[in-house]
Amino acid sequence: MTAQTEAIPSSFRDPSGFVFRHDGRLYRQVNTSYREHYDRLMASGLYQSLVSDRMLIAHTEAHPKVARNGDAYVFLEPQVVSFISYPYEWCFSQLKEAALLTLDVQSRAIEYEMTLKDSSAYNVQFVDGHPMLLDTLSFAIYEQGQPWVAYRQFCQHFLAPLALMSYRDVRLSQLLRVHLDGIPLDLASSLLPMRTRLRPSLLMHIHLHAKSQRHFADKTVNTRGRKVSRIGLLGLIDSLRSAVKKLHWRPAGTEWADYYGGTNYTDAAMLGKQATVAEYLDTLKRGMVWDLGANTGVFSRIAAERGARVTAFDIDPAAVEKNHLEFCKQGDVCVLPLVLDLTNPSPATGWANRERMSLLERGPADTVLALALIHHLAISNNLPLHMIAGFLSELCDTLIIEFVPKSDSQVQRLLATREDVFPNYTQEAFEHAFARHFTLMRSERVADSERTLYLMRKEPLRD
Amino acid sequence: MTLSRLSSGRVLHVLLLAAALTLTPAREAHAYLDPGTGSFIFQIVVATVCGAGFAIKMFWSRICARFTRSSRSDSDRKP
Repeated sequence: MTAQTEAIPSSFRDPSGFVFRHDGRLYRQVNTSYREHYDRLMASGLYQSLVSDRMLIAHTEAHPKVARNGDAYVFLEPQVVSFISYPYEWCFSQLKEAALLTLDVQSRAIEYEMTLKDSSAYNVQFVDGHPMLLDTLSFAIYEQGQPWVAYRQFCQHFLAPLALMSYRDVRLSQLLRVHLDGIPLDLASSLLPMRTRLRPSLLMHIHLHAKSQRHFADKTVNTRGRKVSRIGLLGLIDSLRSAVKKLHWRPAGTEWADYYGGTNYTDAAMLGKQATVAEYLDTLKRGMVWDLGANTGVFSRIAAERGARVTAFDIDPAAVEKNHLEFCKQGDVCVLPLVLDLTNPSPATGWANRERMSLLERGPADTVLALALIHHLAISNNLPLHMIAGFLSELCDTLIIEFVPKSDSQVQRLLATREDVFPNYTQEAFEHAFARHFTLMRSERVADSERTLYLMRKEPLRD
Repeated sequence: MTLSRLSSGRVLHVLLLAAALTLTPAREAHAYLDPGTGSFIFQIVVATVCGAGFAIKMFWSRICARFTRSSRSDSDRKP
């Protein structure tokens, strides 16, 4: 690899090839050992079929000027995904759609005499609201009698977390952050309620599957050459699909329509805020926008309507679920909603802490929206203003931020049950803290409220 | 479900043993994942059960499709 060529650290497990960046562009090397499988993928019509149905990321064969090593068969330049997200950042429906996509791809592959040799949730990314398989090298020629080698991985990456989210608590998706190869089935089995044993598909694919793993854990069995008939394989995929389809999640006791209604804005204030944010966005370049604390996604929509590639983060899985179900529908703008606790954002994890990127590594965004957020960080989480300013300056080039004063009823609500230990939470202190990292471009008072909107541009740190 | 609660472990052991004894070799797959011994053997049992169910499902859907088609073509023939 030359100075301008950098291997992507998450791409190392599969000896069929790897992904690297060269001169700012992303390439995938297909190794000679994978030649037969790659040629079959392309020649059989499977690739074309999957790409035309938006199930697989498209690529073109490329000729980057890199030192060609002996392993290289061909170089591919895949379609670029604007924001890489991870399963522990997805809401229930995103994980479920990714699971169904994986099974649909596997069914389609079998039609073309190929099979998926892995079923990692990390191989799926969302493009314009659609889950798509990212890894062109996930396919292998199907041999008659061959079991699905990725069955365990599918159960751990998809079925177990979905069942836990559906039957126990939606926040258990965060177990995926700790268990990068999916939730161990014995753990899922012990956490799931007894009634899941009455569901034949969950009894089979999670509880008995976990028992089998435990039974064989300390035994050496020669598994080479064990056969599964084609109809058995199709039946297995069909059973997994039906298990996934039957899993549902909705926030307890609420209807989507009235889940969000609790703001202290008057209509005039809301309209005024929307107009000012739109006005600020119109002065900025169309690029990547991160809406932090996006809630119902009103402001994400305003940014997306202006051509920005928007990721809408929220700590509440219900808000993310709602946004995912509503955005990107026919004729609507597209936003990628993700679950994120900004006070503990996704870290760099996996092998050598480099396999999965932290939030910071996936930035900076061109613009960050931090609307009705500052009081949650400063007061609910005791974060000093200068630390918030410093962190936000690492996330973006331009910042649209709203200051919510202590006199605001939402702040009063946060202070109602605790001592006010925030004498420095003032508009002057806020402006002073942010002036260390940003240049103030504009500021406007939100009509009919005590709040202020700021447009700031990042600048080099001053002493 | 009483069956699964009382003797699921025993039934599973018998099925796993049967699977381990009766299967014949297939060609080596191009795979880098470890499927896990317990998962691998278990899949062989489960695929047999699911395959039988799937075959019945397919058979039944074809029968239904035939009846639907014939009743539709009957109604199409009506003036």
